[in-house]
Amino acid sequence: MRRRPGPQFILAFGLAPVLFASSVSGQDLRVSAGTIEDRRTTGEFFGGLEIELKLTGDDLADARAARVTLTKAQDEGGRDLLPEKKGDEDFQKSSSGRAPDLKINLKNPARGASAIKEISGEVQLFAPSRDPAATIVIDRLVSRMDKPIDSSALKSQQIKARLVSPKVYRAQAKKRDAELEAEMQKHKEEMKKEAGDDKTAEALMALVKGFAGMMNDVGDNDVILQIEDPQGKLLDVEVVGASGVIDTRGSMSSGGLKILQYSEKLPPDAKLRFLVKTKNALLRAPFSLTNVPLP
Amino acid sequence: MLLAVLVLAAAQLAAATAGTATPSKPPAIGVTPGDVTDRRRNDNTFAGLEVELKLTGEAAGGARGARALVEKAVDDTGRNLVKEGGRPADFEKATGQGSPALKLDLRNPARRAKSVREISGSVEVFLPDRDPAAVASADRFLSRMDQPIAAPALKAAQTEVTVVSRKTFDAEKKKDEERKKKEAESAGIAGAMVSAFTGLFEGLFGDIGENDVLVRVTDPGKKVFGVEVFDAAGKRIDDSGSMKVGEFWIVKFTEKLPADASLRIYLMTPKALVTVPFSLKDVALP
Repeated sequence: MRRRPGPQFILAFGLAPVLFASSVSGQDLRVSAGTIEDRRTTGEFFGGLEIELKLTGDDLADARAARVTLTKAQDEGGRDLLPEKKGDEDFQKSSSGRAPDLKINLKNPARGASAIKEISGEVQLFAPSRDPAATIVIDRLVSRMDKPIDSSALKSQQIKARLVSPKVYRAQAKKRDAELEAEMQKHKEEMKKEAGDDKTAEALMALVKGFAGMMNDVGDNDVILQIEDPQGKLLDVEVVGASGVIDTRGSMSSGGLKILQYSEKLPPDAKLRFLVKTKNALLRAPFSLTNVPLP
Repeated sequence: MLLAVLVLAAAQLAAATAGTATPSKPPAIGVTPGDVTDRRRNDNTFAGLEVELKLTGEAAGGARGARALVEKAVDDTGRNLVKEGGRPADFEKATGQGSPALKLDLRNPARRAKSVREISGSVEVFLPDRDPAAVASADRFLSRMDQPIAAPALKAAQTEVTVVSRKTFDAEKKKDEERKKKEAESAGIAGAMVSAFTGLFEGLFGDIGENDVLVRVTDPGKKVFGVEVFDAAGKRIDDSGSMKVGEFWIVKFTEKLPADASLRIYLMTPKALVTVPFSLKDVALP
């Protein structure tokens, strides 16, 4: 019987400074494979290979988020497993002090393949404590409603932000609703024709209204931000009180709009904290997993 | 290449309708495989091979429900794919105009297997049109709450069905809760936890609206397939879902039902239940 070497994890720290001179290389970060799901189907949807990546090492202590980019993925028969379309390469935030959940989505390996020969790429950690410019604090957020936030630090990162009061936001939402309603009435007959009958057309219109109105319902204590971030540098925004981050009861984002929901009134001295992906706050660590057994 | 063997029920129908003096014409129903999904995981949670079965043939359109029972499933390496200790599948209801969607839940084949050599078993199909005794009706049932529906078909199926008022339901529920509480107390901490979870789930799903129909079904032989409500013109009034809480079936309606609405109870009588054996060969694996 052929013996296959066990799964390995490798980090090529030495290469990192050469390849990525403009960022910081990881010193102690290890990557290994966790849960693997090979979902094979004759159906149209949801087929593929999903591999959870487990991160360990001292570098994680400072990490607020992580993401993975892939350069190579091959099964033991040499089949290329990299998807044609790039998958979600957004940063995944860490929560409750745990390492961020990283998953990679690949194409199905060959049915008869018993292992993945190699998966390699790079893990990036976002550690804002490594660069003062990565954390921008705006004090007394409650007093800054309905006008642009004036901050040279934000400006230097080419980020524009504006706090909108719930009262003004609701008025804007009402106006948007009325405009949508007028637009739908204008096209009602066309929709009826396309849908085939009145009932279906009305159901479709209700669905459109429902989706459009999903972010219209805001509470009196919610923090509403309109953000322009053309370079996609902003990772997160949080509200900080005297004893640290004030937990939200939920949040919603769409385009440049971000709503942080709070059940209670924020203290007058509450601050906004913007976390920005500056070069010096990113740790880059190339990795390579070899001979990963397939289920 | 997938080779599906369609087996008509002709020869086996006599066995399925055993007990009937004059078996009617066998229904033309066949079984073919649909999508095949092999979900393989290294932690074994939710892993398995799912094979969709499609009912074909003229009679399949009249199927109100069906379930598949697998007897043999082997991949081309000889691995047995039948799950041990699995309980028989529940009947799947037909949705809209389509016949019921059936799925076989099997073990993962070998990685090196290219196909499933054989899957065989039977499909039980509920065809109420084949037997007048498979449907019991209760006219103007809203004015006859809290008394068992008197219908010969129900009596023959040894089944008692009663549309109950909210008042009766609440009283019965209270009695049931007290009984469960006593049982939990005598079972200690474990019992208390089970009781708490049961309460939580019933609280989530047992929410009853003012238009909902509450039906108590005493059905030791598990003959009752479902209940539906019709208007005076014989048109089905669509419900917005249903659930079972103990002996009670709760059929949800968003609008108030007309006073002259009738209730139909579908019963899986031997004549209405047809067993169709199937055998699928060389089903290609993805």
